[in-house]
Amino acid sequence: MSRQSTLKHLTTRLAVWTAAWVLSTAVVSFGSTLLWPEQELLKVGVLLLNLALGVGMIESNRRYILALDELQQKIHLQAAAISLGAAVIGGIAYSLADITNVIPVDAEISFLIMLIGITYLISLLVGMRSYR
Amino acid sequence: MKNRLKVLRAERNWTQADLATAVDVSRQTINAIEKGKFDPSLPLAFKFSRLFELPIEAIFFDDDDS
Repeated sequence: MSRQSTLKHLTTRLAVWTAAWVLSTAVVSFGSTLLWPEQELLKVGVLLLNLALGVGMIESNRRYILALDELQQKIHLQAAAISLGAAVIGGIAYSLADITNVIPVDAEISFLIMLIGITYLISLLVGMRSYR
Repeated sequence: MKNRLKVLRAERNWTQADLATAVDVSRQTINAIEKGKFDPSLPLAFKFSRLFELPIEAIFFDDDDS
């Protein structure tokens, strides 16, 4: 299998795993609060399924990264390092802002996830542009 | 680190995509190496060496050597 077709195959796999995980997250969130709020066993079951799909997504992402060439891996590594730093620094600052009542609302994990995603995406684009 | 990849490629009438396929990397990586923005690993340098049938030091050289 050529490099291009291998990457295409792995990208599709990663997209499928990611979509499945996102869907299961929505099922856990909305299903457990709106559809089956009293059924504890079902709640635990869909949560375990969500975790299993998450593990699959991580493994799929690992395989995708390993299939990239050395420059692409370097760009992804830099993006991961920057987004990890942003997550730790931004997350702690956000939490402290909540604890010290600097912000009027409770800190939500979803904002941290968005920060990680946006930071990773921007870092990736900047990295790709710098080696052009 | 500088290199003669662009010259060696041009001598063979290869595109960046041709060279990328031959050494199993992306075209962007070939472009970055040719422009001196990215230094390849030793295994990739050996691939270039085998492909062009030249020793590594005939393809890649230190900036100070030029």
